[in-house]
Formats: sequence, C-alpha cells, structure tokens
Amino acid sequence: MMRQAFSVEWFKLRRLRLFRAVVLLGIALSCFWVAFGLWMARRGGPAVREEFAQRLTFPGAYEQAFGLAAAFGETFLAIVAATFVANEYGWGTWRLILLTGLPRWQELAAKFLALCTGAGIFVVAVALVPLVAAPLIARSLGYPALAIPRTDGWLVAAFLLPVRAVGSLVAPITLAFASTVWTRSQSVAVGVTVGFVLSEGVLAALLQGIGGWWAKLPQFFYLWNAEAIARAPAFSEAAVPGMPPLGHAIAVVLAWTVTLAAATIWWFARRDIEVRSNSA
Amino acid sequence: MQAMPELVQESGTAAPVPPVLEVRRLTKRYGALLAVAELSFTLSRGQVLGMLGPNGAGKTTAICALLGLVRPDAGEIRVLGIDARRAPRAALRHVGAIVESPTFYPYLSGFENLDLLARLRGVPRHRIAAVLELVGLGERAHQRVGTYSLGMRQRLAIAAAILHQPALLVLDEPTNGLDPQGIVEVRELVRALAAQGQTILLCSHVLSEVQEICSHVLILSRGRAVAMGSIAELLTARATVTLRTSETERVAALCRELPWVQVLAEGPGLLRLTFPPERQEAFAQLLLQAKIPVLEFCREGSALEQFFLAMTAGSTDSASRKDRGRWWSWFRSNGREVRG
Repeated sequence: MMRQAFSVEWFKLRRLRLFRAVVLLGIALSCFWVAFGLWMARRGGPAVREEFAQRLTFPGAYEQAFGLAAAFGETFLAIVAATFVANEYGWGTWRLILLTGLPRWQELAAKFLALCTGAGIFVVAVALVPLVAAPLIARSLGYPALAIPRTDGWLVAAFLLPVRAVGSLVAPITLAFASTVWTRSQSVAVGVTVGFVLSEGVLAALLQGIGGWWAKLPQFFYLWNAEAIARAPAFSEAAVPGMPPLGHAIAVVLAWTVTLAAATIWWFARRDIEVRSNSA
Repeated sequence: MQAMPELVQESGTAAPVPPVLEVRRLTKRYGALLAVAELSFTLSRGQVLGMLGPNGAGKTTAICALLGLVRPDAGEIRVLGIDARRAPRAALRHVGAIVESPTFYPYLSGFENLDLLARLRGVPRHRIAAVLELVGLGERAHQRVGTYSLGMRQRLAIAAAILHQPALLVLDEPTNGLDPQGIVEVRELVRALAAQGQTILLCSHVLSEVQEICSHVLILSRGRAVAMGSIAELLTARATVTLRTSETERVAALCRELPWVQVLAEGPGLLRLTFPPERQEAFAQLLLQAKIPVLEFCREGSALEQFFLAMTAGSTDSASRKDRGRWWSWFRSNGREVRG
C-alpha cells in the first residue's frame, strides 16, 4: 500500500506545474550563475579571476554546484511543499485519497517521500549545469578539464555531497509541510518557512556576537544547522567559520525533523477532514 | 421518534448475512454542539435509503463519520460486519462515496484521477475505461478535470465511487449545484445503479428525488433520527389537512392541547395540520363540539415533502424556517408546487 501511495504522490508532484516551473527556474538561475562566474573569471581582477576560476572548474565546481542547488532549493522547495499540501485542503482532495482506506500516516509519509524525491531531482537538475559546464570552462580558461581533490577519501566525500545537499533541503520541506498541515494555509506556511530561512542566519550571527550562553542558542536552530550541512566543505577538514560542525548539524536537523514529522502525523490522524471546499 | 422499523429483511434459514451498513448509537459533538446524537440504522443489501434533514441536521457529519473523515465521539459502524472504526481500511474497501461537491485534481485528466484511485484500491486499469464509458465520459477522459463542467465532474465522482464495485454507495447531495440537464443525467445514473441492485445511501435536499429513487427514508433533525422506515409506510402513517375557518386562533389553541396534532402552518383564515389518519374523525368531532365554523376541511395527497416538514417542524434551523415559509407561500397560492 505504501509503495502505491508513494507512486501516486510522486505522479501528482511531477505533474504539478509549480514543481516543473521551480526546477526550470533553478536550472535558469544555475545557468545565470555560470555565465556570471565566467564573466568574472575573465574580466575581474587577478584575485577575483583566480577565485572564480577555482569555483567554475573541478574540483571546486563540484562543491559549488551542490551548494547552489541547496541554496536555491531552500526557498523554492518550501513553496512547492506548502502548495503540494495546501492544494489537498483547497481542492478538498484529502477525502478523495483517504476514502480509499489509505491510513493517514501513510498518506503523509508518501507525500513527504515524494517531496524528498522532488528535492533530489531539483538538486541534480540545478547541479548538472555547472558540472557539465566545468570541463568546457576549464578548457577555455586554460585549466585542466578534470582535477581530483588532494584529500583522502575524496570519492566518499564526492558521493556524500549530493546526499548532503538533498538532506539540507529536508529541513525547509519538513517545516513548510508541517506548517501547512497545522494551519491549512499555504501562505502562512510559506511565510513561516521563508521567515525562518531569512532570519535564522542573521539571528545566529547576532547571538554569537552577544556571546555567553546566548551564543550557544543557534546550535539548536533548525534551518541554520540544515544550511551548515550543505555548506560544510567536502574536500577539506576545515569548518566554515561561525557554522556548527557537520556531525552536530546532522544530529540537530534529524532530531527536529523526527519531532516535527511525528507531531504532524499525530495531529493529522486526529483531526476531522473538512467537507466543504473551494471546488476546483 | 415516529417510526423505527428494522430495515434488515430476514434472510431465511441460511447463515446470517451481515447487513451492508450497520450504525449503532453514533454520536458526534463539535464543542457544545451535538451534531449527531445516538444515530442508529441498518441498511441491507439492495436497499436504497434516503437520508433527509434540514441544513445543519447532521447528515453530512453522519456520512463523514461513516467514511472515517470525521472521528465520532461514540458509536459503532459496521460495513459488511467489519468494524469501520477499528479496521477502516478493510471497511472502506467496500464503500464508494461522493461527499458534497466532487473533488478532483484539476491539473490531471479524468482518466488520471481515476488511475490514482485505481492504484490505491488495487483495481485493474481496464476498469477505468469501463466506468468512464458507463458515466458517459469516455470521450473526455483524457482532458484535464479543470476544463470539465460541474455536471461532468459529478459524473466523474460517480465513476470514482463505483470504480472498485463497492457493496455500498454513499451519495451526499449528488445533484447539488447542477443545472437541470445535469440533474436529470445524474438522477438517471443513480436510478440505473439502484435498479441493478446496488445498495445506496442517498443524502439529498430534493425530496421528490428521494421519493422517486429510494425505497426507505431516514429523517434527521438536530442530529437525531426522527423517522425511519419504508417510504410507503411512513407516508400513510400521517394525514395532512387544510382547514379553512374564521376562528384560526381557537383551532390553534385546541391543537396545542392535543399531543397527536401538529400545526404545520397558520395564517389568516387558514391552517395546515397533520395527525394520524385514524384520528381524523375524532378531530372533526372535536371541532364540532367546540362549535368552530369549518369553511373547508380538505385532506392533502401524501407526499414526502409534507411528511418531511411535519417531522422537522420543531427545528429552529434557518433553512427549515425558510422551507416552511415557502410552504406558506405555496399554501396561499393554493397549489403551486415548491421544490426544496
């Protein structure tokens, strides 16, 4: 039953115009970034040229590609998640699905897994642009087309990087998903999630600036830790200044995700499904 | 409670067949509001039960509770003997339903919408084309539901409800919002299903529709069942009369003292009353004894609408008051039919 539920939700998501538009927008922004990077790598000062050349060619392009996907996906996929759930309330289609006897927790789980799959597609689609462009740009800038990182275990790190990018997007998806189930409102859910995306980083910097135990509070921020998962360097041990270590970030994001998912399933299983809808 | 006959027919000496639907003491509260109060009824195979009631009577809440969309506070629901509260998945396998307006994914085609349901219900794909043909949507099957008219969506909803060949079909306001053509189409479809022996629980405001299609009726008022039984039996259980007199106030006062008489409408020189038919002679005698001048004493034909209004007369719901107002208009214009 769960497999069928997932296939149904994935079918619904991939046919959703908003999802397709978001993937195309991500690809377009990625193309724009590559074009901008190439321009800077040719026209900027020597230090700027070097920095952009490193970002546009391997191995730097690999980290840059997934970093871009995670950064764009934070807001875009939160909007998709909120819309995907809010549509069920707006169209009254919860009852279409739930009347089949599908348990409510399975319906939510299938929807969430479909969104995570969608996040994977988004990350791959957005990252593909800089990855495909990297050898061509390297050739035009006089760099080697393929360069292997000079660290041990780079292959594992390279494999884990897309997983980390998708994993970091689970947090905004979960927050938007849970907010929509609780409030039944797409706009509230998008507002809450984008608000957290924009404010957590700023708030973390402020609290770290105050110092003392205030500085420890951001360690428990959901989306800030999710961002740390995506931004942690793949091919070096050095941590990003001001960001929590990768292991800690994963633990915090996992704890928040499990808590929010469990609370949402508990809430949804107990509430009555409204009958009247704004029919499509 | 006016009548509460057992709807289940005896099945002879064979092993007892569980009724298609069995509801016992179903109760649902929304805060202080008692939406459904200890509702009990049974529906056996092949029966078509009409559920009636004024707006806010608890019909849709009761149906949603049957379908697991609303969590009842108390009571028991069994579909073919399966406890729908403990095993909703197994119970809902035997139920197809339309609840209020049809709901579909507008960006998917009719076929794709049914395909989603077929996957979840484990129904073979060839069945989708068959039900779409049955409801007359074969040619538009691959167009987006967003482009469908309300009538087409309602027919698609019926296709979705019968896709898995359920033992019980629950139709809540299946003609709601349709134009006359759509109403006729959907009504004929439901009638055809009923003629094929499909067990149906039909909830409708259109009383003539219920009278035409249903064999039995259940009337709800303020969440409680106030009448239940076969339509033929219920309609002969009470007589409705028109009384023209110059002393309506005295008649109304007399009626208030008689527990078996109900005043349906009161106006200058006119009264509409209902009472058991065997009491008609006794009532006429009382009028004579009280020396009330009777200008006209006329028994009306039996119609479900009259019975329904008599049963729900105590309801304070605004819609039902509006219905009574409509009846009064009809009463004054002397015979123009008003549909609820």
